[in-house]
Amino acid sequence: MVDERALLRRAQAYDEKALAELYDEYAPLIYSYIYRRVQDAHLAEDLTSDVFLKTLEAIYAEQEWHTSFRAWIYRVAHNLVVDHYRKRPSTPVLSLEEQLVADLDVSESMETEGVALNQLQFAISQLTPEQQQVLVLRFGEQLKTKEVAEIMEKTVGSIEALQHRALDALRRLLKDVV
Amino acid sequence: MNKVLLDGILSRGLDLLDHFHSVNVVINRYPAVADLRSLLDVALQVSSFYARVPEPPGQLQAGRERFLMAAAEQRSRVEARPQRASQRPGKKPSGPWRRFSWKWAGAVLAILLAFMPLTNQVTWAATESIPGNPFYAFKLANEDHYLDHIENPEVKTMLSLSMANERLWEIQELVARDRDVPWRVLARMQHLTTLALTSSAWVPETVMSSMLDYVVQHTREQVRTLDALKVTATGDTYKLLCEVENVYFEQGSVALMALANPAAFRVAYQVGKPEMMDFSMGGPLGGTVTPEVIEILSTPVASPTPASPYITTPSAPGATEVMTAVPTDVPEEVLTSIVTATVEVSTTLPMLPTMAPTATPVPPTTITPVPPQPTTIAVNPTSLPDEGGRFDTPPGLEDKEELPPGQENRPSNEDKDKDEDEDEDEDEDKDKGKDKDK
Repeated sequence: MVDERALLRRAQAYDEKALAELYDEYAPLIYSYIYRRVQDAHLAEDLTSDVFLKTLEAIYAEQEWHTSFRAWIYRVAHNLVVDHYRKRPSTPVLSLEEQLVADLDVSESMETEGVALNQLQFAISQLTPEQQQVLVLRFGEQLKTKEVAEIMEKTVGSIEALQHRALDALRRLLKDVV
Repeated sequence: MNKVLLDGILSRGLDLLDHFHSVNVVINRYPAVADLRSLLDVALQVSSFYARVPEPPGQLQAGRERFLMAAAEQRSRVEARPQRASQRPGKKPSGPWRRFSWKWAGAVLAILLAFMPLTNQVTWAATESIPGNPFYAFKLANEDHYLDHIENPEVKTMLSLSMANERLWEIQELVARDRDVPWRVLARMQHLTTLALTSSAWVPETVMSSMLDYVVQHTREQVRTLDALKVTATGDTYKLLCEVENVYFEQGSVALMALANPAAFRVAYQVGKPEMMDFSMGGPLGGTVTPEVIEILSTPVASPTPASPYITTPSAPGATEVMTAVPTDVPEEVLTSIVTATVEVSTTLPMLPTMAPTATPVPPTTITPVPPQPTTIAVNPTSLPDEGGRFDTPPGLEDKEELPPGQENRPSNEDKDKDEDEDEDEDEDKDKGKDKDK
């Protein structure tokens, strides 16, 4: 793991090598995180690029990091994802049945643990953004509860409760599907 | 079983699942989690689902180049310009210098200073104040007092926009200081933007399109500022900034639509009934904030920081900022109108020196803008909050989380879950409060 503070200090001094290192270290992480949220590789790549431009602004504005840089950059990514959904043209919402019929072929070919991927994806999309975020961080990014708590600026207890509710809601949604 | 205990047991079970990747193994090693087997199964499915991440189509190279190029540009900009002492690395701009970079706020400040019958010290304290400051009520009262006495619609439009901008500056300051942003600031901003639109409906036909264009440019700049602010905001502040942005989107949307059909706009806003506008025949935009509007308003303008319509000049040390009413980026016809118009001000207010008629007095403007009408979010002008703000949180501005499309159909028990979650989070955050390292 790189020394975040030292790297940021060098980046603030316009050290190109440090900036490149910063990008190479965090861009794949942020891309994965955003992809898991939006399920679109091109969009995830674009948003990742935006995250780093925002990061640049923050670095040169000599932002004071209340938490670790990693936690901060995940938060920026989350905000950009939420903002993307907020600003994009609204698409017609399909009912669960319509969605399943539309993706029938795909669902038959791609399954995980007995549940079609598109069913799971649809069920996850029904969760609140916060619940989605905790699931991605916990099971996608494989972060510990404490790390998730730092990123989401909540207590460990809150995160435990949130993930419990998220899984419970997902279980109920999947039960309806299956 | 105790809910908190269950949360903890599940969390421990999930930690083990991360390690063993088998529900059965986890239950064998940690039998307490057996009752939560179904949740562990779901967690395993979610893990498998999230494990599939395709390679980025461009290998993130385009983003890397963009990032490094932006850094290089930033570096060359910084190296090219001489820095003030307060802006050298390691030292943040503070005090009045911070204000100078915020041109609109400077304009408001200067206008208020020129008109307020107060001593300089008190005036300065009031105009620098933000919500929570004892002088803040005084600042708002003076703004109201001043607005009440402006008759000229061009001046009123621009002043309202400037005052809305002052609210934005206050929000920026509060966010920078890690303080909560009161909803009444947003309510007042909504009121001021509505007032700006209403006033612009009364400007002469010859300058209306220029004035509306000016409103659009102003809105675009504010959206840019808000986008920058939103980057690091979290929780309630983020929600509030989204709401603020919505206010600007609505303002920009109306201005864009009005540009497409000024006649309809004039009629609707002059009679105080914005809902009367029917733009379906006048322009390509609908009657609400459409994605196209958001796109237009979110697109950076050629000059990212348009100059203030007023030139602010620092006066002698120790004195307050003085404004000369010389617009810089205001269309010429608007400028002419503003400079020559007689601003009807009550006798208790001193005339802004540079705005006073010079050689040929012009008869006072007789048009009186109708009282402001809300565009989309109703503001209750009768509710008086503390600190002198005029409005309470308007209906429809309650805390709302932005949801991705499709989530509107979320089952009602989810809402309940979310509420419970938020309540619990609050409680736990309070408990944590002391040891949280901010």
